[in-house]
Amino acid sequence: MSSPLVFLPVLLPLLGGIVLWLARRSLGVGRWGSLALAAVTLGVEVALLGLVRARGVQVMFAGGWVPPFGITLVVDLTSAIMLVVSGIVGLCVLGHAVQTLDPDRERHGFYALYQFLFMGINGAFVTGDIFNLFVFFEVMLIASYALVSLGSEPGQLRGGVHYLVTNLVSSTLFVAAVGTLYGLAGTLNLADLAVKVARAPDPAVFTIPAAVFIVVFGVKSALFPLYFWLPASYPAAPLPVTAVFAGMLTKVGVYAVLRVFSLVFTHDPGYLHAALLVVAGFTMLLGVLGAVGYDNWKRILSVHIVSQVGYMIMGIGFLSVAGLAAAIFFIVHQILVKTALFLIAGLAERATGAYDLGEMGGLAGRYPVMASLFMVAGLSLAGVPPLSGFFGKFLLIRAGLAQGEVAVVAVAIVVSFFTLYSMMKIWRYAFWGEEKPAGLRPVPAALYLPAAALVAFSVVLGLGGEALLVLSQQAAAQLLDGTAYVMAVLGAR
Amino acid sequence: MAFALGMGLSILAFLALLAGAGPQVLAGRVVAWSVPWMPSAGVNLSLYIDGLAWFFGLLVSGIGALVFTYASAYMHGAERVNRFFWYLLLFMVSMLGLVLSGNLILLFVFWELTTVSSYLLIGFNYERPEARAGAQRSLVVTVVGGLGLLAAFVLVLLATGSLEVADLLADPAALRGHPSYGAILALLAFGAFTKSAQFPFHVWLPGAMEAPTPVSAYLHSATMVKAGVFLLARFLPLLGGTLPWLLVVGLTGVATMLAGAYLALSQRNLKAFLAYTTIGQLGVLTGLLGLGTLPAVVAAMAQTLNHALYKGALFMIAGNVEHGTGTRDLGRLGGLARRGMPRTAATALVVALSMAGLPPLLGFVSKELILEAAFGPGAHGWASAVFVLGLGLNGALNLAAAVVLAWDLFFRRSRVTPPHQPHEPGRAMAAPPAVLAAGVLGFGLAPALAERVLQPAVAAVAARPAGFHLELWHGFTAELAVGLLVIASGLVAYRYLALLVAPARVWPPALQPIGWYEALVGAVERGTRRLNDLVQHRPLRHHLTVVLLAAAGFLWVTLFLHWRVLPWGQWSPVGPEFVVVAAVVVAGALATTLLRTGLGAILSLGVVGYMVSLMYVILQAPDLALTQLLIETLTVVLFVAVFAFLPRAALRWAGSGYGSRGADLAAAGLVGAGAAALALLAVTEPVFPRISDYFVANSLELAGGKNVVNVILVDFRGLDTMGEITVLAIAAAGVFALLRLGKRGSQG
Repeated sequence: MSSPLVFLPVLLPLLGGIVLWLARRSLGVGRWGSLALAAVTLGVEVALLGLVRARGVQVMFAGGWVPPFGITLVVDLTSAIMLVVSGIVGLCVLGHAVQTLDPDRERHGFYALYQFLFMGINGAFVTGDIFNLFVFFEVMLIASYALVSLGSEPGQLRGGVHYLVTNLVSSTLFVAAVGTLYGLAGTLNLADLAVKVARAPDPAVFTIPAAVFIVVFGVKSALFPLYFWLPASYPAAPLPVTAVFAGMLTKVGVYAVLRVFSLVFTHDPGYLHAALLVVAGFTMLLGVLGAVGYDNWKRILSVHIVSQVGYMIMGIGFLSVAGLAAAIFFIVHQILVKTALFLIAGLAERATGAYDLGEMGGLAGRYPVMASLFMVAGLSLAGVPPLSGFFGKFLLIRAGLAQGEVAVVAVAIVVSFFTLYSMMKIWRYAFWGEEKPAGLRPVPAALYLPAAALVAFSVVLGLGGEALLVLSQQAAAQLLDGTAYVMAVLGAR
Repeated sequence: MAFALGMGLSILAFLALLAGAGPQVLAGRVVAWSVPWMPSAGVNLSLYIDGLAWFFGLLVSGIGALVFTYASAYMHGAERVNRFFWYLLLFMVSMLGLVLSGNLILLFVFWELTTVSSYLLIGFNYERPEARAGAQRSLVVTVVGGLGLLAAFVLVLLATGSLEVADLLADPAALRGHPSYGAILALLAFGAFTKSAQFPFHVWLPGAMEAPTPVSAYLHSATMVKAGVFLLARFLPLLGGTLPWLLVVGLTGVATMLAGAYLALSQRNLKAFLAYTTIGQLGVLTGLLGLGTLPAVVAAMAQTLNHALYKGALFMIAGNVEHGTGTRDLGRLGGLARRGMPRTAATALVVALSMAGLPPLLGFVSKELILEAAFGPGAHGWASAVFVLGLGLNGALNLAAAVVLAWDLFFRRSRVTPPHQPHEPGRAMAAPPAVLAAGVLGFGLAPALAERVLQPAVAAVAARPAGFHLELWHGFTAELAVGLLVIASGLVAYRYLALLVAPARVWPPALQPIGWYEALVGAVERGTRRLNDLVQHRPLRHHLTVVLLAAAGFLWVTLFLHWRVLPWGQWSPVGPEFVVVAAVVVAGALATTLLRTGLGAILSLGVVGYMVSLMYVILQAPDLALTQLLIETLTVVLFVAVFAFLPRAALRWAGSGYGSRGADLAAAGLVGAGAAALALLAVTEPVFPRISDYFVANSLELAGGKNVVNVILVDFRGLDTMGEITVLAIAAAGVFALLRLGKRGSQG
């Protein structure tokens, strides 16, 4: 089905971003305008998900050029799910940002850059073209770099450079990989690529660019041993920026792996997907061990991102409906909960003025709501039932053991223990102990709202997870089969 | 509110189980009910009340009501008391859910919730470092075990296709013959052992005594620690009856019953003393289930009842003693019966006698059953010897402990003085232990009543209608003789207590499981910090080296493995002028890495760029050559301009920092060669025709443009261009904002 709705998640942030840039002097326009825009975008994305569920994969041919010659935008169930989650995160983090950012940052284009960031994120989710994916990665990269650095605090610039340079290297590799792939397959359209790779006389030749794509997306999604840029840069940014990065950016990389390695490069799972599993194991383990070794709220959470990405890649590496469904479920859960945890860190910062666990304590006494939110989100992250994280973990373990992948599942299980350990470290130091610092500040009720909304999602997705699970399974079946996607793009000819 | 809710709910659950499910269960039927929760994952909200679930459910709700009553007075005036009752309520509901669950994942949900609520309760007085440490320890140990349990349940699901307890019990032989049997048994036992504080995972239980005393009475004696026992009983019909089961479960139980009972006697803190005797009794229950014979199951159920009643009472009494005297240091307590706590002393005497296994109390009945099981049929020869010895020794040590609790604490003349003048507690704190004491007395005098309660549970665990009979007086049997021997040994042990426990007091902590635990946690904390220093806290160039080497390494491994399929050697020839230019490019690249000044490196990089544009000229692509020339010129100019602002040190060669210049050169060579290999692949004969043929053919006709490149950029792939323009615009906006804000920041 062809539908222009597909382009709106890209177009709205672009146009809105331009307006917000022009009106950046006005705090009112910036705050309310960007909130309204984020809400509208979320509405469009929800509508799109409904449309895809009702009528199947939606496409749009940019400029009217038929595939594989022009660029095709495609939204299948997986893309639609990612878009909706992106919309939720966009809105919730913005809800936190408008209440906490300093007016200087607000007046210097924060809201415009924020929208441009989502243009890149959403573009990556809707594009059906591998080079176009590169372009949206660039949009995302440059917007995120500007957001990391905006404010020019010393740590910010150092982290920003680390972030930018590593990602530029990955962009270079991306171009090299796309060039090689195009040289071999003669096309850039993902659906067309899927057909070509499947039809090639000896598809093994495509394993070479595929390997480079693992590295490219590996840098984006912070996989072992390519993740070091993330803990070096994320904690330096202002909290709303870190929160939205933590929720969305690495997941765009994961989404790229999910898309490309379930649609295009499925010809050699014995090598490519086995490699993904090995990388996933190390990513989970090193990420969580890194997190255990820190005493700073933001740092612990940042390094945790790495570990959790490993779980998602593991699900993708299984390359089965159960594995992919588990991965999708886990991605949704993880994005919401991880963002929530960062926003809760922001609440604690509002109260204590610190992120270092050594500088706070006893918050459970005076901030019971904050404590409850953290407890639920932290337990969910660690996969404690009956929250969403548990079902994500359970589905992944089940998918893995069903395929006899004992080693990586064992790593996942051990890692989930350390996840809980590090969450309880935050709990123990921030919420338990003697109350400190002396001058605790009140936290306005409205600031709780975004975090509470995200935590509520985790509870709902745990207790009422069946809906998301069924959706994930449908999305996974659609991914693995590929027919619906290819037909929607190429069948239109 | 939480208190009223908890009180009401526990009474309601107790009555519902008794009156609602009771008749069915007593008639040997199962009350089952199920609604789908996540059916796609095989998870349902299933209730499965057989005799076992019923029996445990009654214990949980019945003792729950008493604990809520007791806590209402004990916690009176404490800070955050409402929160306390919420936690306790969460715990009680979880525990009830756990025993009544008919779906393994649902059971696991509640299993983990008991862990979480227990963590919150132990750390309730979170200002105390000991409370935080105790909570942490309990969480660590039980969570690790829980993960094992989850893995076991997933394996059960994969082996049998179901998570429903009813389905599993319908085909009890399915798991025993399955290839995953060993893994399931090991993982499940691990989960049960951590929860039920079996040696060496018992390290968390003594620390759990940091919880307010009502919690100790409830979670850490009567209910939560029994969850592991419950689980073993639940799976006995499915996994039991094999040699591995006997070895794993039985021997762990024996080790625990000895370690717990012995270590208890060396404790000086009343609650720690009770905690270790609890460990010992959990060992007894585990050992009996490990034995798995019908008499053993009967004994296990009877002792579960006995222990839940007397241990719950003893903890409440400990709370009353502390309340009345201001201390729980055994060295400062004595002779309390004559010093103002006679009623407490009377209660204590009854439950201590039951603990010691003396008539006419329930403890006597269960001790006879335990000895009968140890001697009884079904045990292998060596196993029988081990169990007789283990259970006998445990009985003796346990009796000595009971004497300490009753005699030393309450009746023996003593000159020590507690901090306060001892006084009796109020009614709400005195009644609950008295009710429990009445329980052990009543069940002891009327064993038929206990029999009635236990019959369905035993039938469920033994998976057959169990004909057994409980009696107070068995006649002059071998068990009676051994029982007398145990009593005698216990009294001897009490007489020489100081001598007996001396080794435990000098045994170095490093050689105890607690020492192992601390060492392990310390190693993790230190190790992860070292890891971060080693890999994370490094300058950017180190990390870039890792990224590039990983990329090149993976590429080369992949190339090597797929060498035969690659279309090598199908390239068109190049002229000599091309070779010369290429040589200059290589020389320029080498110079870039070898020159020690930033300016020199930039200039030689510029040479590389100009040579590349020369290549475009040779290949007859003037537009590309022009673009490249512009970019190179601009880049060099910009670099030189920026250099003027940089300190000299920043321009010196620093290398990757991972090795010598030679190592860096080798790494760069590997990366460069990889890029070259990719480039060669990209320009090779395509497997399929390229879409650019379409662009060339249709650019004028369909898009109305003669310059194909332009048409591709603005029409065929206009969306890419829109994106790239946006990138430039964002970059400009970002730089603008950065500079403006940066300036403001320095002013203010």
